Amino acid sequence: MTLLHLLGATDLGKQAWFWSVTVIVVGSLFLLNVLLIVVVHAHHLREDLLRRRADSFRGRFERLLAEQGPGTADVSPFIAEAKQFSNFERPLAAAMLAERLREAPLEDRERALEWIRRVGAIDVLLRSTRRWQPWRRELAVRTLGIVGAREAVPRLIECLSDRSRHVREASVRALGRIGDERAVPALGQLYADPGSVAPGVVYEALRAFGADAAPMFDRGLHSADEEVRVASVFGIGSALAREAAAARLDDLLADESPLVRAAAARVLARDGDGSVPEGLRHATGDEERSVRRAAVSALASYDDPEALRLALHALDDPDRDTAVRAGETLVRLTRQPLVGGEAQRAIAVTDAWPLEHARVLAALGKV
Amino acid sequence: MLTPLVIVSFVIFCFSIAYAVSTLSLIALSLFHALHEKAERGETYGLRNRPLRPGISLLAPAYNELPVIVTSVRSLLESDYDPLEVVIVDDGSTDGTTEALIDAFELVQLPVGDRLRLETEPIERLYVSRSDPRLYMARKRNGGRPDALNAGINLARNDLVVMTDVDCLFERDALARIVEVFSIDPEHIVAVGGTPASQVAEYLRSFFGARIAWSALNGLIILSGAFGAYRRDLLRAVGGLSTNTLGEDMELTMRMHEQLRPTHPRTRVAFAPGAVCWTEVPPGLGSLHGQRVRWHIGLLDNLRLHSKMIGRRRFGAVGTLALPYNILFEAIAPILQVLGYVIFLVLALYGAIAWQYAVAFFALVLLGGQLLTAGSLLIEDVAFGRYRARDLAKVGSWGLLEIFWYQPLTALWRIWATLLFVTGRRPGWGRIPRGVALTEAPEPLPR
Repeated sequence: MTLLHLLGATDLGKQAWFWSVTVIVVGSLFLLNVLLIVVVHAHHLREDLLRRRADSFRGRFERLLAEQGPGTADVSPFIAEAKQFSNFERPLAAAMLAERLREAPLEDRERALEWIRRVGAIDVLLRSTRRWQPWRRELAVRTLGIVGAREAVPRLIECLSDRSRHVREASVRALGRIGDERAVPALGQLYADPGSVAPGVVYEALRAFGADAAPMFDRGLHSADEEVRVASVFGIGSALAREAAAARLDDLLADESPLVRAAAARVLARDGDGSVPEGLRHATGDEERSVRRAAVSALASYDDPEALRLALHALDDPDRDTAVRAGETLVRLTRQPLVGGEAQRAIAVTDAWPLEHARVLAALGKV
Repeated sequence: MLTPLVIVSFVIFCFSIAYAVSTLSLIALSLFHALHEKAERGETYGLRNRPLRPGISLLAPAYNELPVIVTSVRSLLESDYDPLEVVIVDDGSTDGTTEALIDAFELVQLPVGDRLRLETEPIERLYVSRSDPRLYMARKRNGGRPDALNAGINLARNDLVVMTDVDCLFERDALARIVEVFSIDPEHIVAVGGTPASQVAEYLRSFFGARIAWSALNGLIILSGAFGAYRRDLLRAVGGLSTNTLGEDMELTMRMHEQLRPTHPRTRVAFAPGAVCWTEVPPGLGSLHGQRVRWHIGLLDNLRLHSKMIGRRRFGAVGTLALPYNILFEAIAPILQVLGYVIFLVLALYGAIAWQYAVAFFALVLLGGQLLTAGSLLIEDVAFGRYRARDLAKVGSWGLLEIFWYQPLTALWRIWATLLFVTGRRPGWGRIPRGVALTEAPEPLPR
């Protein structure tokens, strides 16, 4: 009606071309709607059928593993069965294997790996790392990592440059889990040059290599990327011996980045002992509240009267969370052999609310 | 006589076309992202257990919730996430909500203390549960939902704060899925919204149809009040929730964009469509009317409060796309919609309706609207498959019927809300809480 009046063509409705256009537009929209509705319901039906098929396969594969799985000497019946697995069933089998072995003891995993090799599943998984669907590549990579297939390391290193972020991350984790030293240079390179994989993910993988990864974490401390520096602080804490780590961490408490300073204080909380380092003492008065919170919490690890003094002082910190942590630190210090008695006497004459807060939580086992 | 009406109706016609094209583009973008994610993650998508994952403080305000409070809190505690703390803020209930919680969870009193950063009505008492020490409860003087949430933000101890309502039922992995999104870019993602699911076509269209696309464009200007996750340090730094606007969730998200993006252009507000909490829609037309009027006043208020972002490239897609879209298709659309109905009636009275065109136009609107619903259903089914076949059919048919009664009704409600807004008859004019100036990059979260 609108177009009609504007165009001054009141008899437009009688013209064939107008109705042709209207019928085409409305008809297309109608067909598109019908198509979408059919697609939605067909997709739903398909998913429903696949879910049932997957459930049925899982039951069958579970029985197969129980009867002919890891530990059986003759693998030929299993191979004969596995050859029948469809394209749909193979990833399900891989996911089930991975899930069973994820938390299994090393001995069980080694036995399972041997069996997996004999049935030829490693080759299937390696081939799957080249499939076009990213989720299938990721699943194959993840499974190879969980079973600990060392022969897959070269291929997993190649997967570090996969176009899918999920596959790259899965490869990093798989290499960390396998712990083969051939992966260290590639992981180190990835760590030094972040972008394709987050430094935190590579840090977790490198940590599995223990002292071998220490040089990489050491270099990471000088990275321009703040996230790498923060991860390296945690890396140094886990890769170096306690004393060597404590010396480095004390220096890092003077880093220009508050994130690095807070991370160093957090690691010192794990690796404490002895007297409070100078850097940590300064950190309890840091201008950044996140650093103060971490530093005050770290004091609980030091069986040193200085820790007690600093924690008492932190009860008056302008930041509530720092004060709450100071209360918790004081309660924890009462359990230290040397300073414990002094801590008990000190808190007996202090009526600051953060202490009361910490006492209640301690009674509930939270401190 | 009819010429002005004809011109206005032509404007409405063009507007409808623009609305259909832009909304269908959003649906298409959402569908593309849903399909891409499915190809990336597949059916076997499992969440990784991250050793350094950040702790979550789940905040839920409660006011006179006695009938549901205990079961609701139990359900919140059943979330499959660790480290987790649940902070219930009783906003001055008078029906015994506090006492019910004290009995059910063996609450013991903690000192409230001082140095709370956000100003709120006073917290009278603070408790922690003996039976489940992850549970805290604060009893405060009544100040409204945002005030109660601000009190919770003051008390929260974990790096991430999830704001919700006590009657929301979280799927077990909902919180882990929220953290999964944060972990993609912990340095720049400052807030992530989950999906409050319900069997209503409008919710589906809004969440699956539009929010996935807005998230991909980094133009999200609202996270659901029922399920929004924020970084605690930033919440405190920007001054918490506004207690003086009706759309406090939208206001907070827009304020984060406004304060952060000029200095931190890569700041992101993201959406986690797979993180779901089930929520109830308003039980009757009366409550629905109240809710929609509040939402629309909130929208108008926030567009006014944050008008400096409109059209400005430094605010990214929020300034150049999301705000213009919301002004055109959320704020102005109801006015044109109702005007269209009026014109139709006037023309009908004058006998000036060309019925064949009216029918063609009506068919276009109907089929266009239904296309949005069908597209959203497809996104839901492809990406998540949470609905049963009969629910899909029900929601689809409901979407078709909406145009006959629900859409005109909500358009009228929104006109009413606009009138209230323009005449100032609303609970106070909004203002923005002023937080600390953000001069430093937000801290990255553990991955």
